[in-house]
Amino acid sequence: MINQSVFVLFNGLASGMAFFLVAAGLTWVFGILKILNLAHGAFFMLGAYIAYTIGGASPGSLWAFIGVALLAAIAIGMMGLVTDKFVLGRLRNVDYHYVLIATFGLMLFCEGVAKAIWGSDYYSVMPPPEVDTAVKIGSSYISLYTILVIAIGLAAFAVLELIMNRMWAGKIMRAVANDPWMAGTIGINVPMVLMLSVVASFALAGFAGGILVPNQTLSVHVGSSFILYAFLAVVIGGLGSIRGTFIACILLGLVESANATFLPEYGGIAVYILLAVFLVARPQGLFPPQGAL
Amino acid sequence: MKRRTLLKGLAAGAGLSLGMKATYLRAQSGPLKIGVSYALSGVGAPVGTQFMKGTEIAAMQVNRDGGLLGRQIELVVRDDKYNSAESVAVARELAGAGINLLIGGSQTVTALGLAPLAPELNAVVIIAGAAGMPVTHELFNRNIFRTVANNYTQYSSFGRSLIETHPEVKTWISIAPDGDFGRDSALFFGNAVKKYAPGKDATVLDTIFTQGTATDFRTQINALMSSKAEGLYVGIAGAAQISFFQQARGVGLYDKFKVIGEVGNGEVTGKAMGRNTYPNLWSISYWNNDLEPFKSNPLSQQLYKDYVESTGNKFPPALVMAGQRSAMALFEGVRKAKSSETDAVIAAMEDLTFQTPGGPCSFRKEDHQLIATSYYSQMGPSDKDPFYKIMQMAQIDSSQMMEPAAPGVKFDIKDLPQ
Repeated sequence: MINQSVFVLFNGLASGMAFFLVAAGLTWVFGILKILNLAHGAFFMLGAYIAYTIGGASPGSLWAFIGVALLAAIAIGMMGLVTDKFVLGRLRNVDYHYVLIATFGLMLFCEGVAKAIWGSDYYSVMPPPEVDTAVKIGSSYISLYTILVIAIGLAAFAVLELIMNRMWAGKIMRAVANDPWMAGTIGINVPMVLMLSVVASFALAGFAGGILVPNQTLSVHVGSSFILYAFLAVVIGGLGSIRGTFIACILLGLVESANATFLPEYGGIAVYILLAVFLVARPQGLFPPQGAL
Repeated sequence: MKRRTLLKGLAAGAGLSLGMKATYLRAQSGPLKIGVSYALSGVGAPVGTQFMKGTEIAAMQVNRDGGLLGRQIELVVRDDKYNSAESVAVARELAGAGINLLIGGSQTVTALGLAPLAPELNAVVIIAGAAGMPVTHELFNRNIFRTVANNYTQYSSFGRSLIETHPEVKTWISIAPDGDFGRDSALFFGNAVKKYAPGKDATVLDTIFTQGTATDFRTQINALMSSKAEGLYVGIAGAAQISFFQQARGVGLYDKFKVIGEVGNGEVTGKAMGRNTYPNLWSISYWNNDLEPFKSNPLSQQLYKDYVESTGNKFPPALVMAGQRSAMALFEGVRKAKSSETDAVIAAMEDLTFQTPGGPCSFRKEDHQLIATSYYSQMGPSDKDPFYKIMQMAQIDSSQMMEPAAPGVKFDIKDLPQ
């Protein structure tokens, strides 16, 4: 039982941090632009493909692996710039239904582009050699790669918290999120802040794609395995709250891991029970948006 | 009746009759249209597109040799999108266009929609890739012919093949999706391992179940690592299987197990894993041109040549042969019947024996189940492109491993002699 609990803890944290890496960009852009970007998983997928194309199936070292993920983040961030100019920027003042339709179309477009470039074949990427092994704790085998994902997830949260709560850039973004008109009257370049927020959100998706690709088959559907949990985490955490999303991701990871270990015959059901409980007991989420983020 | 009215009626009747005759003559002298319905998009596309390529090559080969019944074959291709409802819609559309010869069902999910429809459409339907038991049991009708082994034959033969090639592996375990197919394939595999183990001293541990579309297998992998098994059957298919191997490799599962058999991804897994392919991975297969018995079969050599010429790819997937074989079964049936009429083709196919790149095949008359040799490939990593290789092929005569024919009756393993 103790061994199993240790495994559930590690596995749950690893899953939670993987969910958070994907969900961070999603909740970021919602917090500032109030846009629910249905294409977020597609840009995660493109990030994974770009990382594979640059780094190949077997990364040479841990630093090369992280470097490639950062390059994927830059590439997807640039795509965010283009997307903001031609799609999202034109949807700033329209009904949210149009935004949902537009981002859904964007998702289909991205999948089509990926299929045209990389085809329908499956690919795989291995973890970097430094973490391509496991440690045995009790009777549990813990992959070092999952520990790396936990570490990167925690680091990403710390950096985002630092930016949003301790740095001037975060304060400006929060000001724009709270009241863009007022922010404009005091001299903040609101369109520029909004555009940079989109770029940051997309870059986070690209970075997540580069970091998480060793865990999953690379195909045009790779995003779907994470994006559902990312959306659940954003809902449970409170729309637009990075802190809430972080806690929700850990909760989801732990619940899913415990479900798979202790009640394998009811695979996946606990996550939906958790969601149902939150929707009934705390529909506004853990950290409801009061001006967001 | 006025004379003018009578003349008009006669003229209209004659015109209609001539028109119909002309249409009939056109149909008899134009290309012979064959409907093809595979999963060409969606998650079933990696399988469906390989079947499609094999079927295209079969049509091309027959046309090159002068066609069928003096007519060229024209494939009318539709995408069933790996969707049962879509396969039904496609079949109806093709039948509506006057096509009564259909090849489809690259996977069970679409075959289950297609099979019951065949009598209503008065069509001959080749179920090309669906191994689900209902096709030749409770859903059986005389219009359908299945050109792959069913699950019972396939996975019993697989278990037998692996225990015969690895008699030193005494303890086995399976990981499979928690559904009909996953439970059945693991059960058939495990039963055969126990039955054919030398001295019947093999132990098969309880199957570890997961979700067929799961993306995280760490819990199940941990359970496998903690078991005493040395032989593993992986019943997870498609992209999920590759994720399983990615996650398993990192915790040392490759070192723990002496042999792994997988459900039938074959080269899809080899291609995706490349140098990181498990070194003793056995897979359900259909064809490998470089190895015997295919190497000395002229039909295999021709298929390989035609594949390379039409694609430029020197590494054809094994499923291409299954697609070619399915089409050839129908073409040979038409050739033998000397007609493309439904009843004549059915009658001809029931007694048909035809040659394929994998050896001679025939149909069991009672349930239209293909009788053929089942092949299993041993795969491992390679330093050369495509970075995996097939080392050898094992084979089992499927006629030894088939359940008794029971068309119309639901399959239950408890009904078989143990």
